[in-house]
Amino acid sequence: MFIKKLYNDLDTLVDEAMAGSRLIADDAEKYSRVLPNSRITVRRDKYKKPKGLVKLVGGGGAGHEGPPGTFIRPGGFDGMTTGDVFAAPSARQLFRMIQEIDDGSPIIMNVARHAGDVLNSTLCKQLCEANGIDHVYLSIGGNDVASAPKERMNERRGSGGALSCSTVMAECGESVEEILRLAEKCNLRQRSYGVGIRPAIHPISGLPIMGDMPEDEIEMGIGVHGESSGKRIKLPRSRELAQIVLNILLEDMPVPSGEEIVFSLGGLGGMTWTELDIFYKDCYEILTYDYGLKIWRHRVGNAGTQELGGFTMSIGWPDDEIKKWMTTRIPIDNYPKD
Amino acid sequence: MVLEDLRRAVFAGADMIIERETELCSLDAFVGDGDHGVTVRKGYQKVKAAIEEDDPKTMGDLMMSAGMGLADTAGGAIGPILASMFLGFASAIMGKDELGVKDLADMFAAGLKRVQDLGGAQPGDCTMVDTLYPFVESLKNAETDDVKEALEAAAEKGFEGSEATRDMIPKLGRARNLAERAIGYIDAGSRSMYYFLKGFADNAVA
Repeated sequence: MFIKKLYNDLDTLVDEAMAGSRLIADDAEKYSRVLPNSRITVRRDKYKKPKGLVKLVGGGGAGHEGPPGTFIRPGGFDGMTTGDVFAAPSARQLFRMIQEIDDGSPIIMNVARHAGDVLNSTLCKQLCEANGIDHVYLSIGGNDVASAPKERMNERRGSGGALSCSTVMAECGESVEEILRLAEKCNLRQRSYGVGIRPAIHPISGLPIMGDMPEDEIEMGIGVHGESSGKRIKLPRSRELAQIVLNILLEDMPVPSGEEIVFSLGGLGGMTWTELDIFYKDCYEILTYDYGLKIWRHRVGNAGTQELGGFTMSIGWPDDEIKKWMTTRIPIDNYPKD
Repeated sequence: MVLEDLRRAVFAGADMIIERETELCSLDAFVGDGDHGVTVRKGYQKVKAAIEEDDPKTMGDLMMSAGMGLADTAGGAIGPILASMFLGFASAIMGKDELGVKDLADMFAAGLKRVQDLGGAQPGDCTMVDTLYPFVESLKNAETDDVKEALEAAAEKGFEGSEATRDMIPKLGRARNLAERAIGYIDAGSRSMYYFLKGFADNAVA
């Protein structure tokens, strides 16, 4: 299959992307290292979280690469690992990461609810227990409104998100129970919804993602890998689409007028900034003037599913406790001065 | 059964699957991706490779090696589910030097529980559980102390269970989307499970 993308070798595509991303991100080498012959990144010894504090790890498929950044650093995660394109890392790989990080303190695995991620993380926990590491906890999150009805909230798939407290809570020495409680609360107080506008090409198979979409239609309720919902509509104007999606989100989680929200608009990689600018403005105006909500924090970006045109929109409704953690700074004396 | 027997039985079960890769793929061709044979062949090759590399000295460690080997397979649900099954086997026989009929019933029951916990399948959902469940029930209710006799009788029940998936409507996995249209097809996962158990049963005693 001819693939009109830049690459050298499909077998090393994920590893080469990972290496490049680390070279672009200024502090990647300073704060973190990659375990030999692996796609596992952990903090360097000097920046390891002090013993006793809860460790946070995560993993997911490749192919979602965004702007290079250093996630494995003080104030961030303790370990992260990557699978193949759009495929979860294996349980063995997750286990190797945990073995490397384990210092006897509780470890939370953050998992986006996708079948492969949940299976392999659950199996990883079993591998840990079979090998005497009995302090691993799973925090599984998903709030995609399109993937399951409200009555089956605990089946909703992972997608975007707007609220997060775990990393700062862990640095501040909060207990594993408290961190898990807040993670669950954040998940319950946010909603996401995806829309697909233009197709993309899978970087390994060369096959189109959402390739059979008619020129004048878009798909409502897609997943972050372009998973189809089968629900297509004629391409509306930006303002009309903003109204439709905000209505879906706020019908599922009604937020009273006057409340403060966190709003996230994640272009999936193939949105132009012209589109995002216009679309964000429309969302802002509808949220402010029609719903009477205040945007407390907002985030707009464009990466996640190759060059797929489309977005995931998320609304979070932080209460005082969540706001407190989202505005807390990490303690400076956890780590050596540079 | 002692360590040596267990190793031979696991290898024989693995080989029986590896040899039937093509047949298992064609069973999966209508209902799934047509790659079930490839997935389980790769998985059980890892089982053998892990046991050969680790050279475990106890029966529990042997099943643990098998599980760790399977946990190395990425993509798809079958690898993790089988890995979890072997970890269940391992936990049930850890510390034992010899397995009788009762121990084997406990071991396979622990594996079945892991499969159900991780995969979410119940008997009748048209999955590997439809082979493993009657196999375990037969072993639990065995009236003989003879390992070979008990395992062979159980394998026969497992075969009947796999045959019965022909009339079932799939409740899980990709096959679920086909619903009634899957009737008339044997579930490939139930058949590969049968081959493992059959190879195991036939070679449990030298």
